[in-house]
Amino acid sequence: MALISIEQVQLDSRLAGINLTLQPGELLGVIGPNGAGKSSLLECIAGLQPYGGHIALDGEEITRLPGARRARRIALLPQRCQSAWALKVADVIALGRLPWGDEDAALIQQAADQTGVAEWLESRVDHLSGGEQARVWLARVLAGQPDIILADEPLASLDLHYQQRVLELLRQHAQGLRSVILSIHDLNLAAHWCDRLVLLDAGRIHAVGAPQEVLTPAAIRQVYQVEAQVDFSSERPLIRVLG
Amino acid sequence: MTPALTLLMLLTALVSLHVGSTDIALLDGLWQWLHGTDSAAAIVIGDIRLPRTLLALTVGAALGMSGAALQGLLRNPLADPGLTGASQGAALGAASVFYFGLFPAAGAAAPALAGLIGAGIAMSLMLLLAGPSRQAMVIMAGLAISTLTGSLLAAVLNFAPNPFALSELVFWLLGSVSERGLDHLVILLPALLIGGGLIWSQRRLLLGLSLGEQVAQSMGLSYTRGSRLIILGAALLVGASVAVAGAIGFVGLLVPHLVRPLVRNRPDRILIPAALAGAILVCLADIIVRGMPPGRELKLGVLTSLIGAPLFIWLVWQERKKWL
Repeated sequence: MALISIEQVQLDSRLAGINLTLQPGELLGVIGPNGAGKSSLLECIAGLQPYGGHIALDGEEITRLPGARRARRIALLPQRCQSAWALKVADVIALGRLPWGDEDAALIQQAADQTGVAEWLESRVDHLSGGEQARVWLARVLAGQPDIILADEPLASLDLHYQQRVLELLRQHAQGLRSVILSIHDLNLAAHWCDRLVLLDAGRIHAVGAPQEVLTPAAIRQVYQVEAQVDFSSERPLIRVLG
Repeated sequence: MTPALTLLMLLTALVSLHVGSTDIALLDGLWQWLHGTDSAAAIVIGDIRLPRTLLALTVGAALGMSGAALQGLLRNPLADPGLTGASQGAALGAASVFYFGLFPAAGAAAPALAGLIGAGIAMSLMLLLAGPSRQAMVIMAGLAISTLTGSLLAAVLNFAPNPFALSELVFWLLGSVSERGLDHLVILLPALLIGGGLIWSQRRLLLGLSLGEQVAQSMGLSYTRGSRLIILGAALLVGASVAVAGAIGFVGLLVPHLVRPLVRNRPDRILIPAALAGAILVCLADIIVRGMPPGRELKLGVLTSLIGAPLFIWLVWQERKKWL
């Protein structure tokens, strides 16, 4: 049974007629040009937008779930994050435990170890570099041990090394009963790391399926208005823009 | 941290009960007052110093906590409790008592009662104007309502019936905890408990808001409902303290800055320490006011502003350095 099933979801002029499922253990990539509705879709699933249609978590409509219960299962890693106060890294990660109403030290330590930020637990988060902060935000999400992580362009502002690390962590999370929905611009990374892709265009689903089925030269031409060469024959898929 | 501040507050309260123009044995006076003895010591301690000390503590606690809550909610270290429009509304309400002689039955507590009502009306108008608010709208709406009530207050001053009413009003507005009785505490204490309780119930929201509205909401916290409760609580605290003691400036703005480093900058853990530190500061300031040479009394609100303004300038300077 699908972990999340989305039926005919619409959100004013941003999303229309979205039908989608998220399976357990899946890393689902959401791709599409700027303004296609990627963030809006994630915000609907996170319960931040008053959508039309249905989004069900294990068969239960998410808007009917009490906030804390929803938040324990679905966590959002927003595109941009900033702390208003000069909090310590440990306290930022502890924020992930808010839906649970505890500050479980072992889970906070575990999340810090996973993301490699353990050495800065007592440092101020605003003293860290952008890439280091990005890992702290991810640790915050991991500390809540959610079943589903909604990661909205988590790779923006990260160098190649950290991009790789973050993708490894998300891939590791999307196992067993847990899943990840990842909004991402880099089509090469999307094709390599995601189990399935959803290609959005102007608030509608253009295509959904395995990377090979979605990332065709015709689809890229139609949605991004660029000519691209697509090669799925090698171990790492290669999408190259022509001209 | 909280136990140390509580101890410091109790010590300040003891000093405040002890200090005065007449030298009186504190314990004897308190004992006689509790037993209803009609001695000079009982009157000085029980009827003058005790209400004054308790009022200074509660006003300070209310201002400190409301400042911490509003700064947390608006995620702005320069947010002042006066932002909600409640202070000006309370001042207008109290001023109307001097002008129109409202609530004669309430006696000396009439300005406080009218002030509370004024704060409530100003707050409701502000919330109505801000709508299902973003934080910037709360600031704008608060400013608009403050300006409106401020101009009405100016009009009241303009048309004061006689010079005595005018000077009484102006002195009252300068802020003080002297010449007030335990009946003022009957207004202030419930406001402190209810307002403080409302804010305390939303401390998790304040923590969640550190990373922004979106993150707070994604963690299952209700921003719309919670922010209204916080604003309501802060307005109750500020409105009641202004209504009872007039304008005691800068306490709500500065106290959170003083205690923030003690609680690792956490907006949820700052609430109680900010209330305690506010109580200590206002009580200390009042002790200084009483220690001044006799003659024209320096009003408590004037003293806190004189001390607070340079500190505020220093804070702005620190903030500025962050952006340069």
